[in-house]
Amino acid sequence: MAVYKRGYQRYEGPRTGTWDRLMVLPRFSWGQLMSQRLVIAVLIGAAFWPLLCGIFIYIANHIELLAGFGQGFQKFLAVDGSFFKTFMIVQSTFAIGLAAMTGPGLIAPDLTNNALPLYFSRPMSRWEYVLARMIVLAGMLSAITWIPGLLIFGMQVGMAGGDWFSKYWNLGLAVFLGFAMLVILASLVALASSAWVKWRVVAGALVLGFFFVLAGAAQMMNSIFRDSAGSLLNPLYLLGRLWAAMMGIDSPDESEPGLWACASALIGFCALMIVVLERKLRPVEVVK
Amino acid sequence: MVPVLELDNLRVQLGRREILKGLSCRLGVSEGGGRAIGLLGPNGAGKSTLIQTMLGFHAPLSGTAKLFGFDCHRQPKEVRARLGYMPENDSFIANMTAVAFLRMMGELSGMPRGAALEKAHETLFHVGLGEARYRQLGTYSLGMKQMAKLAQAIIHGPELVILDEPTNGLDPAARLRMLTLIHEIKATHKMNVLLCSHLLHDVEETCDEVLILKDGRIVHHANLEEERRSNRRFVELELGGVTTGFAAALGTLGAAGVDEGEGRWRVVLPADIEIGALWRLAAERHLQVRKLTYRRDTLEEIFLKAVGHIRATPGDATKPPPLPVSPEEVTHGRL
Amino acid sequence: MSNEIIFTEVSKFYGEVLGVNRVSLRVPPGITSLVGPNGSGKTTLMNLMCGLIHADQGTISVRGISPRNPEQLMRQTGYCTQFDAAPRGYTGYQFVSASLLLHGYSPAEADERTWRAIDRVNLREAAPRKVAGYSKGMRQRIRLAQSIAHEPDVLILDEPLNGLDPLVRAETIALFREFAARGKHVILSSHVLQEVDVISDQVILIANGSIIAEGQIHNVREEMTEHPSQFLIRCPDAAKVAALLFAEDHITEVRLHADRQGLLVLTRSRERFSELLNQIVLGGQNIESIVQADANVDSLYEYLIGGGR
Repeated sequence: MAVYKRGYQRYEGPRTGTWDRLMVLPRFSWGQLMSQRLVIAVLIGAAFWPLLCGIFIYIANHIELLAGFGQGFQKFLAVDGSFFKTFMIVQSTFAIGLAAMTGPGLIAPDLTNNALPLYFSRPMSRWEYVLARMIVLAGMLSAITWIPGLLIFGMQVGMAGGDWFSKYWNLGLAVFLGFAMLVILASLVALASSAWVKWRVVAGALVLGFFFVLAGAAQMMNSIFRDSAGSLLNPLYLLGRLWAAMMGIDSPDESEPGLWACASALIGFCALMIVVLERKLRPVEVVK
Repeated sequence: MVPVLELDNLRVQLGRREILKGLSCRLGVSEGGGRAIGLLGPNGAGKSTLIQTMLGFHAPLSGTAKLFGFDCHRQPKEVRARLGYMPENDSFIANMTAVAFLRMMGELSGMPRGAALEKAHETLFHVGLGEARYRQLGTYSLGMKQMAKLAQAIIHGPELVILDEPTNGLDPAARLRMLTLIHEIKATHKMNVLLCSHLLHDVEETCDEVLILKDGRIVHHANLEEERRSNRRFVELELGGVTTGFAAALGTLGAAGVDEGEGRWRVVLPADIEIGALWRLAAERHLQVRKLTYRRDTLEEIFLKAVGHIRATPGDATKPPPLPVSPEEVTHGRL
Repeated sequence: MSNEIIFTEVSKFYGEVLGVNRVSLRVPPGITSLVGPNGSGKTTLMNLMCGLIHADQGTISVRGISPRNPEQLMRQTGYCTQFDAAPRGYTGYQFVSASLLLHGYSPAEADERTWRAIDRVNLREAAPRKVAGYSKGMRQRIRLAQSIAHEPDVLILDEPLNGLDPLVRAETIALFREFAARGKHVILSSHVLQEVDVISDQVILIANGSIIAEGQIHNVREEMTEHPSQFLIRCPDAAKVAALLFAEDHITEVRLHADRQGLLVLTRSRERFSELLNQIVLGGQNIESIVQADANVDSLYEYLIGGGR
C-alpha cells in the first residue's frame, strides 16, 4: 500500500502571453453576465427587430407575394438608406439599454470592494484593465448591433443581386462604422459612469440620461436660443447625422452644424469619458 | 546573488510631500530563496509608500527600486509577474465563489486555465478554506477573507510575497494559522516573504531580517539570525526560594548578577564558565530554578532603540546597563 | 460591592442568533481583558454594559447603576467601539468637543476638557484637521480621546490597539494603567494575547456566548489542574535526562525535540519537578535552559478554546 502526501505545491510552470491574459477578464465577465436571466431576455428581445427587418427584406425582394397590393405600397417597400437608418435607430435603443444594464456592474463593484490593488499587483496596467472591460461591453453590444446589421445587409445583397450592391455598397459600410461608433461611445459612457458612481442603479440611470436626457436638454437649448448649436450636445443627434452622411441621405438645414463639428463633438465626448476613467481608476488614492 | 530588494537612494514624493527620503539597502541576499524580511516603523514612516513604489504605483522622484534586479518603475510587468500582494485593507471581488476568484487571479497572473483551476483548489485547501470554497466571497467572515487574500497572493507561486498586516483583526487561533502558513511559505516552498506589521511578536517569529523605517529614512537594518546566535553570555534567571547570598555566590564564579525582584535575576557569565555551573549553584542552595534562558535583545528593544526611544539595548554591552530597561518597563511607559 | 460590574445570569439573543448565554460575572476595578474568538459575544457584553442593548434575561449592574438608567450610566462610562466611523466633515477637535457638549458641559469647560483629552493622546497638531484625512492609528486615538474626555469611571474599549504602531501602543497602554491605578474600570478586548498577558490584571475568556474562565491569569492557570504544567528544557544529552525524568510518577509526558537536544516535559507538580531537576544537575547532567511553556494567556486560550494547531 502506498501513502501519498499531496498538499499545496508551488506553481512553477509556464506563463501565458499578453493576449491570453487580456482575455481573462472578458471571459469571466461574459460568463457572469450570461448567467443573468435579464441579460438573456434583453438579448433575445433585441433579436426581434432584425428579424422583422429580415422579413421586410424578404418581402421587398419577392414582390410577387404582394401582387394584390397597389403600386404605392410596393414603393414603400424599398430597401435603401432610410430603411437601414431606421433599423439602426431602433437597434441602438436596445444597445443603449443593454449598456445601461450591464455596464455598471463591471467597474463599480471593484471600486467598492477595493479590488483594484489585486488587479494591479499583477502584470496588468490600468489601460489594459479598461480595455478588457470595454471588450466585454463591445462584444455584447456588437452581437446586437453590427453583426445582425451586416447579416441582413448580406441577405439583401444576396437577394437583390450585384446591381443593388454596386449602388448601395456604402450602406453596408455605414452600418458597420456607424454601429462601431455607437458601441465605442456607449461602452465608454457605461464604464465611465460605473467608475464615477458606486451605485449600480444610479450608474445605469446616468447612461440612459447621457443619451436621452441630453437629447431633451439640447432641444430645449435650441428652442431657447433659436439656433441649432445646442444639437452638438445631443449624442443621438450627432450619431444620426454621421450615419446619414455615410449613407448619403444627409440633408441638414443651413442652421444645423456641419459634419466636422458633429464628429469633433463626438470625439470630445469620448475624450471626456476617458478623462473620467483615468481619474477614477487609481490603484492608490493620494490624500493631500 | 541577486538581492530580493535593492534600493538605491530612492526618493518618492506624493503630492507635495516627500515621503521616502533617500533609501538605500540590499535585502534578502541568499542562496535558494526563502528569506523573510520584516518591514517595521511608526505610522507615517513610509512603509505603505515603499510597498506601493515596489508595485509600480508611484514613480520615484530620483533613485531606483529594484526587485530581483528589475526596476520597479521601468519594468513593472517583469516585477509584478514575480510578486504576490496581500493588501492590508478589505479587498475582494463580489459575486464570485472563492474558486472562481482564485482561478481568475491565477489566470491574470499568467497561469494556463487548467493549472489555474487545479491550483485554485489546492491553495484553498491549503489555507483552510476547503469547505467554504464554493461559497461567494461576499458571505465570508473577516478571517476567511484574509485567508482568501493570502491564497490569491500565493496561487501563482511568486518569488516574493508581500504581506501587509496579514493578522489584522484575526482572532488568536486564526492568527496562529496565518503565522504557520507564512512560515511554511518561506521554509517549505522557498518563496521570499516581505512582512509589514505592527505586531513585533509576529515579525520576530517569522522574519530573518528586519528593516526599520522612520520619517522616510532607514534607521536600522537588523539581521535577526545573527542576533539570535550571539549574546550567549547574557542569562535570565528566575529562582524560587530564599535567595539571600546568591549574588555573593555568583561572585565566586566570577559572574555578575542584578536582582530584579520577585526572584528574577539578570546574570552575565564570563566566557569560561558553563551554564551548568550556575545551575549547580542554585541547586546547592535548594533554590528552584523556574526559568533559565539566554537573553537576547527582543525585537521590541531593537525597534525602540532604532526609533530613538531608548538609548541602548541590554545586549549592547556584556555588562548589565546602569539603567535597567526591561521590556516590561518599556510597556509600562517609563522611558 | 458597588464598585464592581456585576452580571447575573444574563442572556441576549438577536432573534435566532446567539449573543450571550447565561453569563454571570463580577469584574473588580483595574484592567480587564476580554479574550475570545470572533463572534463569541465580546461586543455583545460591551454593548450590554453600556445599555446600548438590553438583556433578554438577567440583571446587570455597573458600579451600582443599572444600564436601564442611561442618563446616569453614560455619565460615568466611556465606550470606544471597534468601528471606524466619525461624523462627516468633523475635525478631530469637533469630534471630541461635540460629545462633551452633548454631555452637558458648558462650552468653556468642554473646550478645556477637549484639549486635555487630545493632549493625552498626543494629537494636538492634528486636531484642527478633518478626521477623514487621518491615518488609521490617528482615528483610533481620536476615538479614544472622545471616550475619555468626560473622565469616566468605566472605560470600555473594543480592540483599542488595532492598527497602532508599537510606540503608540506603549503610550496607550500607559494611559490605561494610569486609569486603572485610580481605581477605575478599564475593560478592553484584544486578540494579541502576548499583550493581554503583560497589561491585564484580570482576564475573561469567552467563547460561544459563554464565559469559560475569568480571574487573574496565574490563578486561572492553577485552577486548571487537569492540565499538567509544561516546561521546555534544552540539554545536550536529552535522551539520558528523559530516562531519568520518566522514573518519577508526577511526570506525565516527555517529548524529544527533533534535534535531540531539547525536551518538552509535562508534569503534575511544579515543585517536585524543580527539585527533581536540581538533583539531575547535581548528579552531573548538563541542563542549558528551562522555560515554563504555558503560564500565559496564549496557552490558556489554547487549552480552553483551542482551534489553532
